[in-house]
Amino acid sequence: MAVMALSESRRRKLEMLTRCLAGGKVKDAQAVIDALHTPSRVTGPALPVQLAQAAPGIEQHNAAGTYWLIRRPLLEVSAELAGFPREYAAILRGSRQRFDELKASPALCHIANGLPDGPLFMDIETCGLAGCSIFLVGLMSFQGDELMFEQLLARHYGEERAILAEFADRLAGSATLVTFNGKAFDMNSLRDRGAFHGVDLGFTPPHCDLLHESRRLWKGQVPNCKLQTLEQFFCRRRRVGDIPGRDIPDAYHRFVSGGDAREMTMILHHNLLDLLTMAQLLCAALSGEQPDLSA
Amino acid sequence: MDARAFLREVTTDRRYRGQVVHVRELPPRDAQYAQPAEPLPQPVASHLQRQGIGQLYRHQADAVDAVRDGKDVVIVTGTASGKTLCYNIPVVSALIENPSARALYIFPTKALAQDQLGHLQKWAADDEIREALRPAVYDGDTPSHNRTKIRSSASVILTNPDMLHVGILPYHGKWHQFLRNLRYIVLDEVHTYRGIFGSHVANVLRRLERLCRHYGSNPQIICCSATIANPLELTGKLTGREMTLIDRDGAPRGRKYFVLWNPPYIDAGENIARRSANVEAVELLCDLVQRKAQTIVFSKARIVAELVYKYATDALRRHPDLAKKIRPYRGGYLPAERREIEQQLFQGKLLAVSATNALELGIDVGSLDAAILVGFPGTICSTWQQAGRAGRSGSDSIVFLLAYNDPIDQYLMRHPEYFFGVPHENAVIDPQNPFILSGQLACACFEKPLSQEDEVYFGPQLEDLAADLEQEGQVHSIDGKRYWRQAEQPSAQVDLRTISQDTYAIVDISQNHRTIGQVDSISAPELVYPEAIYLHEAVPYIVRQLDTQAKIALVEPCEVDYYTQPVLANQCRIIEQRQEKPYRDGRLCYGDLDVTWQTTAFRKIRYYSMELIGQAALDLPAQTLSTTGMWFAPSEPMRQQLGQAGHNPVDAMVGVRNLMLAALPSLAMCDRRDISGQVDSSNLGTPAMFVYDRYNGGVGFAYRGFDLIEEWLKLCWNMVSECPCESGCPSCVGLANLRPPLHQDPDLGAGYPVPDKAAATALLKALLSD
Repeated sequence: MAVMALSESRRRKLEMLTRCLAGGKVKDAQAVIDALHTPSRVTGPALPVQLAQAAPGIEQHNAAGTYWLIRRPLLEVSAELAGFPREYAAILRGSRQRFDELKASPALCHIANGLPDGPLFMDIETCGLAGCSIFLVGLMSFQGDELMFEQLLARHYGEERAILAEFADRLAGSATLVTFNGKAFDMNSLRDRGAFHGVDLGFTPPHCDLLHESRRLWKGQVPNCKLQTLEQFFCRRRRVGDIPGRDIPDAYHRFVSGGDAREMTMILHHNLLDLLTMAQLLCAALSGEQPDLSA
Repeated sequence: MDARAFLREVTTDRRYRGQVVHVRELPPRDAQYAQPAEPLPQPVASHLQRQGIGQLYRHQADAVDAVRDGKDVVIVTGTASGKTLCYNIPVVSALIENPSARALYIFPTKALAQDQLGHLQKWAADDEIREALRPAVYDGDTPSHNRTKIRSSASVILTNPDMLHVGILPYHGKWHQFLRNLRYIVLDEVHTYRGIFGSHVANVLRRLERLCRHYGSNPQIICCSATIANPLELTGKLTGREMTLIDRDGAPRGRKYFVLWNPPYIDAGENIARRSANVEAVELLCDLVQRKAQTIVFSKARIVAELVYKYATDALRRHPDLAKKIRPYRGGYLPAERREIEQQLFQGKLLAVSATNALELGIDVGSLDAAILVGFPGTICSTWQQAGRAGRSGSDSIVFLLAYNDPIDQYLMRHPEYFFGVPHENAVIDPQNPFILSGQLACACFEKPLSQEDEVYFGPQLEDLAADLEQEGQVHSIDGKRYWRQAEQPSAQVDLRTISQDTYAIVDISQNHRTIGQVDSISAPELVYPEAIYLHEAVPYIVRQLDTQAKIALVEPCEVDYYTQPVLANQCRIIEQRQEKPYRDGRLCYGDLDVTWQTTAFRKIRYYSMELIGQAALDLPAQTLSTTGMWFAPSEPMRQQLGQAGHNPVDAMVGVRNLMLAALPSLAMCDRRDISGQVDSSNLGTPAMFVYDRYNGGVGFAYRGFDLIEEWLKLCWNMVSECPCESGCPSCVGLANLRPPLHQDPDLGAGYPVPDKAAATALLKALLSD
């Protein structure tokens, strides 16, 4: 039978509380609990790394509250990929002619017929599985002649509403939305959490879910259609030292409780790589590229 | 049927040997009708017309009026008095008036939700109602590809508390439209929400209400209950609201004869052994069926339901047309099979069912002519609920309570005035139990950050318990709000019920591994151990393998002339003593206990003769309940004193233990089924009384007793000294209320003896005197 395991200290507190209640002394209970508290364990280095230092950004304010915005161009992230934004723009501009050859979804057609600055790439990070709150909305779009990352970070649980409201604004202003498994996961989570906070995401623009596009285009040619598998075959990149997705919720909780931003930078980097890979997959899809099986 | 004539015939039959101990005639009552204060919406009125309902009974009209006045109500009327209409009329009316309104129906079991779905579908078959009333079941069995559609389009959702707890509330964002428009919450069979389960459900409902407020609704609550002593108190605590009681039962009742029937002695002169109650039940059943009286038999164990069915069809082999109109019904049959039997009974295609208490809850099978209760069901509430299955408005009905040769049953046979006079049991819950509330607060916190304002829902302990969750690192506090700070979802780790919901599949290897039945995981080692004979609609299957990992029992049909019975071993071990204090000249202790039970062997019993024809040992893992309890060993001088006064000290301790178990519910606010106890000398070397919580990890009931020992023993003293019985009865020292051997034929056991009242009284006196 699944029952929440009781720690020794907690059992003692609950017993004490049972006893106080039996005597009708609810008010005394706090004193008893206070007396029983063991000092909490001190872990980690004495000096936490500050967020402003680890992930420079600006505090943003909107009607729903405040949040932390980390804005940087691809150039700042990776010198090797300095040429990619130009390539990206060229493929998006040129894809109209080759469009007929594509086994494409309506959303992909929409992108092919639009401008490079049309797509808004989006990937979220959450505090756990379904039903949990969202702490990071990673966005990427083509601005000027550069791919720009904009990560909306809730520095604690109380800032979730502000990042959702900000995302709702961005979504309303974009021509297409590009995600990886966003139809089943990201957008559902955003809508559910938005409903809770009274933030209406409104009408979703055409949504290109690259998981579905990848399955349509490359199923059978690659071992599976997970993002990181596709990354190997199309971006010729393997992640080293990346924080695994399943470790992200706990790392974020630790960040909120302890304020040490070291793990936070890993989460931000993970999210950023996901966005970048999405852009590269979109290019591959539009240009009819096949997986590099030597990778 | 003419019950009086039937009774006359049975008692003049040559087999009759004075079995009828007492006949109580319950007078008939005419229907009392009433008009609702305001006319019903036309589509509702015409639906009722088409169903042949010209007028509402008084309680139904009362309920409709009270709900229209915005009251939260609890309806307590007899079995088959039309309680369902009390909520369906207001709900359907509201949906017609406001198509965006929503209702949530909560039933304690999945089977009841399915049954009620059928009723609502009948309503929805009307053209004028179809648009507004879109009912759907949403529970653990709902396929995931249907769930999105149900959430967005159903106007009435039928579910159970467990699903609400683990599958709906944590995902409230997906339910925001439903919750925003929620007008009514219907809680049927609320009398089942008592003890630990009820205390959890009360908190689940508070979580629901809190989210409704968040999304902007404030639904009304409609409860229905079988008869219990304290419906207002129970539903008030369950919902946290002031409830209005609707109990002017206007349903008509025919005359009912309640017969106490005691099987005769079969050992002329010695008066020890009685004829089998199972066999007596079969004879009565066959007599009734031959008179075309629709009958239900309630047995206390699944095996007995199967045996009664087998014996009855054997006895009727010269009347195959009658024999095939009888079917067994019990937990463990597949849902489709159960639905089919329920419907056949309801449509009158069956003449009789041989059932367990699986049919006690309100599944609508219509009204029957006769009910046969094989053995006292254990509580007065259950007895009257089972008896309520018999009773038609226009004609007489008859109920037989057959006694086993068991001390409690025999006591009832000797004291009919006690049986008919004793009040229904109280249903007790304690939503404020710190152990329960603490787990529930974690769930609530996951759903929405906790703040001071939530005291409205969770009471004055909120701050203490939330602070504790924070200390444990489960929540994190920001600006006066506490947020859940773990990746795991808490509700998956908080079980509402004391009994696990896990099941084993029973698979027939001769039929391509088809699943023929199921059994809960606690019962599996007692029902489908290797070489057990598993009876399914009286077809014998032999168990070839019990796979405890995969939770599967592999069986195949066999031809044998016996059935099997498990031999159980129980024990209670002290794992760690946590606290102790001196009490009188002994020591009172509290700590961790492991209570284990194990099927160690099985017996082969020949049909009919009940002759033991074989026994074999089994090597099955023990099942363990790790809990907390209290224990006390009376001192050597105290035991000697008892002996000198002519009392058996162990018998005295058994009596006091039974009293302690009977008294603890009012002190610790628990259900009597949530606690148990033992008298054992293997732990301490001297006999000691143990009382423990029947919930993994414990919930503080035994601890409350440990803490308030003096008060507890005084309660015991009051119970025993105020009891008018002579030498002990089920109301004082008698009713052990231990974990019943669920899969044993009571005919083969002797039950628990009623301990000596004088001995228990003497021990209590010694424990209470300075």
